[in-house]
Amino acid sequence: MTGILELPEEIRPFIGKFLDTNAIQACLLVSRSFHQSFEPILWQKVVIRNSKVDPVIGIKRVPIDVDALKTRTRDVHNYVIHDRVDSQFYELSFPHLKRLQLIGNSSAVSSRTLKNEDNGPLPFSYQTQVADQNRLVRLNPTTRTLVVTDLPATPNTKFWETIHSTWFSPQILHATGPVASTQEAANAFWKACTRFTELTLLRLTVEYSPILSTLTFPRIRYLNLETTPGVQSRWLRPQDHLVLMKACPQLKHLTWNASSFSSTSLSLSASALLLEFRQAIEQNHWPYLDSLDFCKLYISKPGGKELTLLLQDFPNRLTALRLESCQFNIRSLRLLKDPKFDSLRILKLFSGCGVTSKMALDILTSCPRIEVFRSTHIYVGDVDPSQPWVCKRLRSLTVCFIHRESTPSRAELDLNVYAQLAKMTDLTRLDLGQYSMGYTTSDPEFHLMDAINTLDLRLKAGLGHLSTLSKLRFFGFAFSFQVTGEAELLWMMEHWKELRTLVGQLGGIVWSALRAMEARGVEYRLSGRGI
Amino acid sequence: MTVILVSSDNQDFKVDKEVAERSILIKNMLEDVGESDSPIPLPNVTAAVLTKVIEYCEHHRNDPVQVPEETDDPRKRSNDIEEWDMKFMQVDHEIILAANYLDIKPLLDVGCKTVANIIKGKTPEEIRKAFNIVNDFTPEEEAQIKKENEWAEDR
Repeated sequence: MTGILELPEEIRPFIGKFLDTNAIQACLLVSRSFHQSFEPILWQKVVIRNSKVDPVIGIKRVPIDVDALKTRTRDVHNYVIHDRVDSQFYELSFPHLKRLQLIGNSSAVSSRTLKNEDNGPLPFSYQTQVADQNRLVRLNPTTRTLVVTDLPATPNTKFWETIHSTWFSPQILHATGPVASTQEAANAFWKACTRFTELTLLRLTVEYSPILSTLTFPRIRYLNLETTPGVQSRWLRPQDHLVLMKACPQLKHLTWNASSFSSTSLSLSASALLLEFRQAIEQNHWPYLDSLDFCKLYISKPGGKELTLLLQDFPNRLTALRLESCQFNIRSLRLLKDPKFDSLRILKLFSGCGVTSKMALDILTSCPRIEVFRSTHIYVGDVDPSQPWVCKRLRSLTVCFIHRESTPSRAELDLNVYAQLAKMTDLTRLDLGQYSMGYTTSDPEFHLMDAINTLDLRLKAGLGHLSTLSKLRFFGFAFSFQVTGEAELLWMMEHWKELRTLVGQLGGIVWSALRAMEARGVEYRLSGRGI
Repeated sequence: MTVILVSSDNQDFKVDKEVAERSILIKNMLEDVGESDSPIPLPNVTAAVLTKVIEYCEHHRNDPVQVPEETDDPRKRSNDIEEWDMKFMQVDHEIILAANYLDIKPLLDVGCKTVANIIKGKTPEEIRKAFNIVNDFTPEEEAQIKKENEWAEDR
């Protein structure tokens, strides 16, 4: 081993993968040789915008010279183009392009919909844009990931036909907003979808297509749908979402955000839809489906039986379940403790599910194979030392430990929590932050005052017990009203050698302590969303 | 079961098959060759580097095999290197090259991330110092480069 730092040409591309833009720009100024090696990396991602000043952030952006771009097409892997830019930026062919994103803006889209203009002839500027868009997809058949976001110039038939018949191996389609405003274009859109393996369709506006029910999507393993009420003329009807789901026999993961069902006028049709979905599950329509993510799949019927019935009928080995604003009650919980759900590794329960502190604890004390668990809260007073947590394989835990406002002897009770946490030695991620402030009536247990009385994370309260968590890489306690300080920080640096990310308010920290953290490669943030 | 690996300078290394197979290159070679006992030549790797590579593979012999994830963003993850790995990587570029040749992705990633961490946050002059490089730009050239690359946004 030489011990001298060298960076020969051959390894520079490998290093470049791990550098951010600032680092690469610095490398470009190091030497001619460095410049030659690192410039291609800078051109891997190119973003074309339509004005010099970003209207939202007010950052002045330097426009890209199209002639310079023409000389570097071989380096571009990720091309993001906003609407209303010069046509020249659409006439480019990138031989190694992996990701292509076309972004419009949602306010332009909704204003056209309101004026009922999105079905009539396009204004001239949009016509050019439609032609431009078609040219761009025709010239870039290597694209793997296509992202289409709120395009006022709705893609036409040719756009989708080109993708369907000429793209080599598309994988991911992420579409938000309008995708087709004529029946012909809609047919072409769905046909194009059959080529992808992952579909994300959010707030989709698409003309009714008679062929949807005749198509199969054999390649789709991942589906993410956000349903729209279907009352506006061209929003995809909820029943068509179900048609789509049923046409994906290889489906492995389903995300279904049914926000639109929240209005009571639609609850009847929502019930029918859920029933049909449940029946399909019963009939083992999706033999590979093992990961479910539901949001707002509740209906006005009380008791939340639907989810329980769904789980009861589930024929496969479920490995992951994520729920937000879906009634998860005692019966559902009881089901999860059944050996049938031995396979469950990931369970994430967000706000609006009505999960109580006792229910969350029940999971920790009864499900030995859970590896990732998230819930809203656990009352420290509910933690019982005589009922140990059995999930020894737990790698990631996100839950806020709080005291009921009127609890005396908090210090003693805190130690119960520490004793249990200390045994979870496989933990790489521990997030004790407070993320569920926006309570709904479905979370009756969470009172605003409780949120202030969180588990005390000071050393004198018991943090030291967590020295057993030697594999910890992420520790978070955002929004949890802590008074931790330098002593706690030093302790963490000393005992959690693998720690890479720290999120939460640290009081009275000296600048040098933060720099020492950075030097060790630990990223520190005040806050950030939990998983 | 053991296999024999031969470095470019003709030194033999006896290694457990399970450890050797952390290298996808070696794994494929073994599959092609079958039950033969013949030693595997590695003409691109010196004994000194091969010793270190074998040490890495021994330490990580029980790690789960990584599945390549194309959609992952490596830039965000250069801060997740294990402490043992950090000490192991004496920032020797030869290990990185060997890891690439032998197709041991985890070792390649660790090596690259280590070097990337050295570069991050440094000015061009600091980078030159770190890698012993002479500045061969004129001030005009430097100004031009700065200007023509201003457009780049966050990756």
